[in-house]
Amino acid sequence: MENINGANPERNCTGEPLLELRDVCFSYQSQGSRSISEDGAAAGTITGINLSLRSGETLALIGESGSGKSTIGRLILGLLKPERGSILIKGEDVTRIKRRRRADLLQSIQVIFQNPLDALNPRMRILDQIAEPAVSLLGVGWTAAREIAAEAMNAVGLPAGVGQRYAIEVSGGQAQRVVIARAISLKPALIVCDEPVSALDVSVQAQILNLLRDLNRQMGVALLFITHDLRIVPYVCKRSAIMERGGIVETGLTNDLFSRPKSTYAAALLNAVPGFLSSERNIDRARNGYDEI
Amino acid sequence: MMRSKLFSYILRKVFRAVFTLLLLSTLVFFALRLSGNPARILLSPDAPPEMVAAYAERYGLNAPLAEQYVLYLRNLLSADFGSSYINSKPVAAIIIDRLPATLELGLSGIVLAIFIGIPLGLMAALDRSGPIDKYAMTLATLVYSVPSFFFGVLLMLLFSVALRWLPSSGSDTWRNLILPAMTLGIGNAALLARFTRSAVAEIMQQPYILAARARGTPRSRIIVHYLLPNAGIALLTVIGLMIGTTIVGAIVTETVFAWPGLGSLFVSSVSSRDIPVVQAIVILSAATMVTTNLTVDFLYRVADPRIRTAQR
Repeated sequence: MENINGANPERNCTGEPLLELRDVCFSYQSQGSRSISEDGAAAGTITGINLSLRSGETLALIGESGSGKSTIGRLILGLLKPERGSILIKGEDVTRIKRRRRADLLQSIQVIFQNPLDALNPRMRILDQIAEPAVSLLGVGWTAAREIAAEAMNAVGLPAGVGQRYAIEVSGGQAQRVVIARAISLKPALIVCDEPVSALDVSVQAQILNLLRDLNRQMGVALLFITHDLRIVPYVCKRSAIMERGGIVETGLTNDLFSRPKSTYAAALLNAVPGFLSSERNIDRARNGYDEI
Repeated sequence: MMRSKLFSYILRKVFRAVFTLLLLSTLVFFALRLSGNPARILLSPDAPPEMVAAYAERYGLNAPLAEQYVLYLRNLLSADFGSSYINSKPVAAIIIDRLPATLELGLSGIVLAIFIGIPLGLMAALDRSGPIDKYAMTLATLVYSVPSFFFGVLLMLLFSVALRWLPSSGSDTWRNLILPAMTLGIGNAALLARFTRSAVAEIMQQPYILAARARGTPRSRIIVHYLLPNAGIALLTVIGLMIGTTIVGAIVTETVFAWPGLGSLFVSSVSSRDIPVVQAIVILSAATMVTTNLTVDFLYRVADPRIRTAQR
């Protein structure tokens, strides 16, 4: 398989940024809520975040638990409101526009959460779960929405029979495919992947990573890949940003960043992973490792 | 295989329900006879012994207790509850005569509780820690902690005595139903509001709700397709309990408003020591609870695929 810096991936990275964060700041304390963060970021603060992502691009947001990476994902998804700064989607600041327009813009961003079984409605059949965004967001009828859902299921390699099951009746890997099918059913420009494989078995992880990479290549969908697992980053993302205590300490091409980290924290983080040394040889090994599974 | 497991599940549940009813019927029989010979209790203390003996003979009270018990069970199986000690009418006929009024009142109360309690609890959960939540839950706690007879009297004083809008007793028109149904329904609405609030608040923390919000799913759709169906299991339990306690719950309300149902019949039968009627109402009340529980158990399976899968 080609590596991430080859010809195909990110061939659509063009023009204006699809997503841009300018000096974004956020604090859970000021929101009076600590419940929404899953990664322990509730105790922390997000300060001065600047990020940009173009169409078809893949960017990894890396950091320890509590560094604030999931909080950034939630800010982008509109689940949290920044205290300061701007979040631009296709050039429009979603923090300052009307609710309806914001909802329209946010449709181009979909999300994949860490635990796929928890991300599915236990009372709804799988096919309807995938069809539901088309009904509620595009306003199409259920029959047409189920056709869209069937296409999305086919695209992620789910057998049609799975559509009639409930979340409890599918495996973790299948559930994550369902979540991905639901995310791509609206043909989004960007998918925020918040630790999308960390709750899955290793063999299933490889399948899901391959699927995400294929979707990036074939559909040109951009990926913001939030993870604490450094080993999978070179396989999926061309660019990376490393976070520490609510701020970004280093950004760059994954290849460069992993082989020659400039900041002390990035170097320490890379060297903290057992068996993962920040050398090009090991990056290649990590990248190719998933092909061997 | 799956079909046979389902069959054995149903059989097990039905067997348990029948056993519970048998146990309850036995308890009722012996408990009511602990107070002594019903003929002596019913007749005045200075009644001549011949009269007591004749009375006992007429209602089969002279037979040994075990024999009475066997006869009682045999009659129960054919829905024969005996005759009233007071007016000698068949108990089944007396109950059939009073049952519609209790059902009318009980169901009105439950419908009122559902239409007030669920929306109130939902609004409170959606505004968690906000003003609606605080006021709604304070009100619910206040209403629930007021005894229903006191609440009924308050309603009567306000709407019947002070404002003269509604009748305070009887069952002639639909207007007679309003105050007793409110008395019964508002207390249950308060209970249902608290349950709805806690069930919805818990579900709102689930990742699939966060995922739906992140996808931009409209709030109304999240409520209808995500929150209410998933909170339904908890609510089904509470509504099941309310239905199960319809007869018992109506005792006080029917007495306060002179509503001609089973509740007021029960009170008058206890005071006149009409054991066959009391016995029949207690058994009917228990049967309502057992049947409702059984139905709720089956509905759990229909409503929640997780329960269905877990029981396979």
